[in-house]
Amino acid sequence: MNFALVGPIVGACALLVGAVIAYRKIKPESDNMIGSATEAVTNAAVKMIETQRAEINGLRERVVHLEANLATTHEIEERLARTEAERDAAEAACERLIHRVEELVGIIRAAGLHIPPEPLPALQNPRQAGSGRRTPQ
Amino acid sequence: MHRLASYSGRLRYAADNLIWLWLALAAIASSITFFLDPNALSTNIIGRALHPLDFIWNTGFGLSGLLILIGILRPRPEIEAAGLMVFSAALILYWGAILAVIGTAQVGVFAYPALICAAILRVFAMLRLAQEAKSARTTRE
Repeated sequence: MNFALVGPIVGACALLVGAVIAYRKIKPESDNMIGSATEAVTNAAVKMIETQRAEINGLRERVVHLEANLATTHEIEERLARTEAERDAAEAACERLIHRVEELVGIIRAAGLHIPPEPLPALQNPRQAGSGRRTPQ
Repeated sequence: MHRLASYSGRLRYAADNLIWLWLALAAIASSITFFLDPNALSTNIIGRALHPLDFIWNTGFGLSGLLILIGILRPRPEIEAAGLMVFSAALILYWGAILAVIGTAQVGVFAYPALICAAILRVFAMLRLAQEAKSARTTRE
């Protein structure tokens, strides 16, 4: 008999005792333990699906909110474009008016009519002039 | 009524535990090979040096292989767990025999402890599962 085998023999005996214990402990639950494991996995999967569904609903609400914001942004952009067009039209009208006033001043001088002692204030583009105030007479 | 009584349920359980099914078949094959010719030098060089221990571990291999096979194919977890423990016992004996006769000059010396640990861990997992099933049953009742 090899003494090196004493350890493995004792271990094997312990494992055989363990086999009996495991058998007796598992047997009463044998009918439903695999089923319960399957049930636990299914419940975990269902819970995960519900969590993801809630996240998807939250994201959907955010998308609706963002779409509303986008519509408002488009509206603001359109209003801005209209305002810019109106401003351009006003600038063009102003340019035409300045030209017309300069022509009238020329006509008045040529006719030798009364000309104010001081020349008319230089008319400028309102954007360049800032406030565009008239010089008091 | 067992929840995995259906054919597909059993097949699924067997597929999930294919590695243990394979080990059970290997253990049975090893045992049959031994008992067909117990004195064959080619398959039993260690056993001849430690006779009659070779009868014990080969019986253990055959028995545990059958238990694991039945436990997985039925499926009956308690039979499978008992088979796994008997398999570990036979394997630890065989492992000690290899160490005593040959020493560490064999790859199996390092592979068998892993198998023993895996089998014992599986039994522990089954015990935990049984405990959870018991808790669930107690809660339902």
